[in-house]
Order: sequence, then structure tokens, then C-alpha cells
Amino acid sequence: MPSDTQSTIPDEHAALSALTKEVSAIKDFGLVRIDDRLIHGQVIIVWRRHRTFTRIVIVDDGVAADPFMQEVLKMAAPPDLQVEVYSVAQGIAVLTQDRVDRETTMVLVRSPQVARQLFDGGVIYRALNVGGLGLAPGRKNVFKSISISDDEIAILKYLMENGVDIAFYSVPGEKPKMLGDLIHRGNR
Amino acid sequence: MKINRKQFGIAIGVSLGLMLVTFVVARAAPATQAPEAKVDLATAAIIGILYYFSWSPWFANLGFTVLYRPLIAGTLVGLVMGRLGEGIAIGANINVLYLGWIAAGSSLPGDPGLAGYLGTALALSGGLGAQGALAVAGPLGLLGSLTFSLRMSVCSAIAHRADRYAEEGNIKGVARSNYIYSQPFQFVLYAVPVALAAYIGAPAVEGALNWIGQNAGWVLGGLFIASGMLAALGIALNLKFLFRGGVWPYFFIGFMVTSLAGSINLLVMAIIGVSLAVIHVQFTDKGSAPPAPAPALAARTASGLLTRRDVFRAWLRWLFFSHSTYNWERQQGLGFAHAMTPIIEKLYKTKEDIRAGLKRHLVFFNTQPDIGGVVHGAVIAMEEERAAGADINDDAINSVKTGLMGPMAGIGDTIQQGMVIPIVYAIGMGLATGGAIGTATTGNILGPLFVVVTVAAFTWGVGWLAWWQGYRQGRAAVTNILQGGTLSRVIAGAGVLGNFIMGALAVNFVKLTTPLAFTIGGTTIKIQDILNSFMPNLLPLALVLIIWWLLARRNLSPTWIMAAVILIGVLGAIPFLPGLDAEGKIIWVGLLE
Repeated sequence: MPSDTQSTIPDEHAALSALTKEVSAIKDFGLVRIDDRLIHGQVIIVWRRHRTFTRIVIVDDGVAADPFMQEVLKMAAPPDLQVEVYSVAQGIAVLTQDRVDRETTMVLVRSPQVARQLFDGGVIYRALNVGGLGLAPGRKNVFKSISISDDEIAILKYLMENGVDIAFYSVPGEKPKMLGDLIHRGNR
Repeated sequence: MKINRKQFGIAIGVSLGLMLVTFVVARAAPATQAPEAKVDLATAAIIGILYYFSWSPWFANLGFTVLYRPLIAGTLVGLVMGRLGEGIAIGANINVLYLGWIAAGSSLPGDPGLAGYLGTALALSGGLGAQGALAVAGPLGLLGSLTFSLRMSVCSAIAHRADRYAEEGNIKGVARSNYIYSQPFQFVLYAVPVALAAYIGAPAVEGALNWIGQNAGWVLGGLFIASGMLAALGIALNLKFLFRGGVWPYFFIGFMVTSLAGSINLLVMAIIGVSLAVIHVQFTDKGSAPPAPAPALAARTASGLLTRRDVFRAWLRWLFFSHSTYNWERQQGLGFAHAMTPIIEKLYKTKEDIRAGLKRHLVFFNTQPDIGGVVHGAVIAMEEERAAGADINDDAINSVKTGLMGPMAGIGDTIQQGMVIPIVYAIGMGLATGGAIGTATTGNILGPLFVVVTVAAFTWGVGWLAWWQGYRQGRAAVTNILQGGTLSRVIAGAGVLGNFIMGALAVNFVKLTTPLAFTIGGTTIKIQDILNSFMPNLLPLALVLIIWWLLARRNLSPTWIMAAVILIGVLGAIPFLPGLDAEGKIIWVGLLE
């Protein structure tokens, strides 16, 4: 057995480093965004002015079960922007395998919960944009048009601790608020 | 932010008092108006009030779409200062910078209203005129976002006030919170600083410009150069959106046609552009409209509890007051609830139902106000069915609102802010300056009038249509409006027209030449003549494309580019290079002219 271990260690090491290499070689998504309005002007006009997007992937169990809303969301996007709607399970399957087009893909979710489900499911992203969360029971207005609950903050914190940069802002050009600063301010 | 009843009352009282005083001062204005373009206290007060008006809800949604835009602001300030023609020309020039300006959601990138009102006043009193106004107005526009954030926070507190009225089942209280209580504070916030800035700033700017004119005349020249170059930033910001999807060649067609024709009326260009758009769409449309996938939602039958008049009354409230308490927390939430007040009043009689109805609609909401009205229409239909006994719970109503507000905002912003406003204003600016935009010192009132009429027709016409169809058909109206590919054809066509018009505008507005010249063995060589022999307007075209590249490909911020352009303009005016004066003698000139 020792000899076996000896011989597998370099292999494992090589495999691991290959994996790390592969992971870091994966281009990040053009944008991963939490926005409870999903597609609207900020997304299809302002963000698209700033970066080239060819597709929007919406991951939301509610919309995935609602053909009417799917149709509306698809029609709301301009003709040269493809909109795909998946449930969380489908979303994980599609986004973990998808290695092409990442830079021109925008991933849209409605809540921090889904952002975490994707992350835990193996969808790697390094930056998360909290673009819009409306006031709802349990949520408090924390920064501009973003209201958030303590549970949701805890989820974002978890993502931050796992290496995701979390920035609160609605459109490029606006000065973002980083999650770290927000928590820091809340504690004082 | 907690504000108790007493503090709230005091704040409103003080603000109202200030509001009255300002109006009294303003009323005395015509009598005291000086013939020369000086900003006295009365003029300054009126300019402040006009700026408040541009944010206010009193003009049936024409505040933000008309009064807030520099072309109209310049016209009004010109009128107040007794220099109507010049004001229009200045407004048109400032407007170039904001043609591509889009405020989506609650993001406000710069403040065209501030640039328009204050910029025109300062340019008029400082004698900068249409050709130098942008160098002053451009940086001013950056300041506006400061007050915006304060307003958005305070209006959240007013929404809390409305919550309490809703808890009491007080329909009138909720309505009043939206359209009255929100206004005095905003009046003070918007009118007073601008009035003061105009009153104090005008002599200061005038003095500074006089001093510069006497001691370093070339700097003044530099400001004119910078203004001509800043127009390129406005055009490039538009191209960032328009230069895509195979329609970009139309920019060059527009540019070249205008360049060859010299001064050309933009209305003529618009007609050529529309023709090109129609041809483009006919040739590129694949003719395969998406195979009507709609599980066609049956048109509903109204129970008759509401009349057309009720639906119209609700729409009127929305048309005027959708944004009067716009805030960080709920955005248009209070506007939505206000619009629903006639419906709630008609449908629900018990205190319990009224309270529930008000609270149901005081939540977060945000969409594009005209086309988004289809959501309200659909919600009114649901409320009517619910009151008639149908099993529709709060969740069902909420999910229609939260589901549709985003997509309708996307479509609405694309059509209204992305196409209708830029194209209508471009044509209006062309009419205003008779085709010689950058050089016109006086403008034609026809331009601003064209804008007002067209934008009003769109805002009111499309707004009511969307609202009424939403009510008639319920949420199926959304798919019915969007289906069949008409919308995507219109968007493609507008892309053609937009590019074409921007090309024409670039020729008219962007001014950049070089006065460099030298003589070799008795032969005079002018650099500009050499450039012209390649192509007329080569430098302006190059400038637009460079700025577009910096914006779109290097992701530089417009603010940095603005600062750089002004700096380059002024530095480019330093007279240290050889050039010729009118009689052909060698003098020192700057790099640019």
C-alpha cells in the first residue's frame, strides 16, 4: 500500500494542479447579478452598453414553471440577445458544463439564496453584482435601491468568505458598495 | 430616518413658506427684467423654480421628458432672460451631450436639467454664447446627482407616512402623501440651490470670463474648442448603444451625406433615415415571425364594476404623479398606490378591504411609466374581478406586478429613452438651429415646439393605450403587444434611423479644425486644406470614433473623457505654432481651432 500511495501522490498532485489550472483558466461570466426585477432597462440597455452580452441565463424556479413569464422575458429582450430560463437544478447543469460564451453570458437570479445554490452546485463565479432588491417584509433598505434581510446578508457573507467579490450597484459607472464595507458599517 | 408628526408638519410648513416667498419674488420678475442678459434675483428665482418644475409631477409626465432636457431648458431660460433665440441655440448645443443620456431604474448618470438651466443662464450672462456653452454646462451636469441621493432618501420617509395612512384606511391621506407632502421639500431642494447658484454664479462666471478675456484670451478660445469637441462625447455615448447589430454603416452614410450637402435640415435627414430604415427592415427581416407560441390567454370579460371613467381617473393619477415620491425604498410604490386610489374607493367599501387594498399597493414597484402602464391596467382588471368575487389573492396580484414590472421597464426604456427621446430631440435640435447647429447663434422656436408636441403625443397616447389594453385584456395584453415581431422590426428600424441621425448630428455639432499653416518658398500651405482634400470634416469624424473607442472598448468613464477633452481644448489653444492671419502673414496660433 505505501508504494501505491507513493505512486499516486504525484498523479493526484498533477491532477489537482491541472484542475486548479483549468478552474482559473475558465473565463468568468460577463456578469452574475442578483436583481428581483430580472430583465429591465438597467440590464438590457445600460449593462449592454458597457459590455457585450449575447445571452442572458435566468435561473429561477418560479419563472421556469411559468410559460407566460418565460415568454414575456424572452420578448422583452432585444432580438440579438438570447434569453434562456432554467430551474435551479437545470441551471447548475447548464452553467457548470458551459465553458464557451461565458464572457458574453449574463446570469440573472432573483435572490441571494439562488446565487448560493448555484455556487454550491459548482457554478464557479468570482464576482457577484447585487443590482436590485426591492423592499419586502424582513428586508431593510441598506444601499440605494437595495433592501436586504439579515438571512440574505448571511448568505452573501458565506459567498464572500468563499472568495466571491460582492458589490452592490445597479449600473456600471455608479460607485459600488462592497459587502465588506456594508457589514463593517452595520456593526458599528 | 424617523420623522415624527410634529417635525414633519414643521418641515412642510417651512418649505411651503419658502415656496410662497419664491413665487412672490418671481411674480415681480417681468417688471424688473433688465434688457441685457443679467441674472438678477427675480430671474435667478425663476430659473430655480423652472428647475424644480422639471423634476415636479405637475406637467403630466412632461417634466422629466421635456422640461428636464437642455433644449427646452435653454429655451425657457432664454425666454426669462430676454434672449430667446440665443437660449434655444445654447440649449440645443448642451443637449448634444445628453442625447444618449438614459436614467434606467434609479440610476442617474449626470443631470441634464442642471446643465440646461444653470448652464444656459451662466453661458448667457457670461457672453459665452452657443459655441462655448458646453464647456461650462458639461461639468455642471455632473453635480446634479448629489441632490438626487438626498431626495431619494427623504422620499422614503414620506412613504412611511403613507404606510400609516394606509393602516388607518385613509385613502385621501395616501394620495396626499404622494402628490402634496412630497413636493415642498423637493421644491426647496431643487429650486433654492439652483436659484442661488444662478444668482451668485452668474456674476462670478462673467467676471472670470472677462478677466480671462483680457489677460489670456486664448483660454477663451480654448473653451470654444472644448465645446465643439465635447459634442463628440455626446455623439459617442449614443454610438455606444447604437453601433451594433449590423446597422452601424448608417452612421457613416448619415455623416457623409450631411458632410457633402453642408448645412442640411435634420427633418430632411430624418425622412431619408426613415426611408433607409424601412428598406433595411424589409431586406433583413427573415419573415419568420416566431410561430405564435402563446397559449393564447383568453380575453377577459369585465364584470362591469368599473367604468372607463374609473380606469381613466386612475391613469391620470399615474400620468401625473408616478414619480412624485420616487425613493430608494419603494421607488414608484407610492405612485402606484396613488393611482389605485380611485379603484380602491370604488370597489371596496369596508374599512378592512380598503386598508388591505392600500397596503397591497404601497410595496416596491418600478417600471417605465408609459408602456409599463399595461401592468397597472392588468392589475386594475384583477382588482375588479376580485371585488366581483373571483378567487384572486394578494399573491396573484403581486406576482403579476413583480413579474411584469421588469420586462415592461426593459421594453419601455428601450423604446422611450433609447429611441423616441434621442431621435425626437435630434430632429428638434436640427429644426431649432436651421441645420447650422454648431454655428447658429440664435435658434428657431419651431424646434422646441416640435419636441413638446411629439413627446406629449407619445407619452399621453401610448401611455393611455397601454393602460387601457392592460385593463381590457388583462396580462394577455403584454404578449399581444409583444407578439408577431413588430416590436423587433421597429427596434431594428430605429437602430438604422438612430445611426443615420447621429452621423448627421456629428457633422453639425462637432467642431474641430486646425489653424496650422506655413509658407515654403512663397507657397502657403494650410494643414486644414490638406485634411479637407482627403475628406471634409475628417477631424470631427476621427474625434467621434476615438471617443467611441475609448468608451466602448477601453471602458473609460465619460467624466474622465470630459475632463480630458476640456483640457485638450484649452491646451490646444496655446498660441505657440505658426499660422496665418487674414492677410496671410505669419502669426502664432494654437494646434486647434
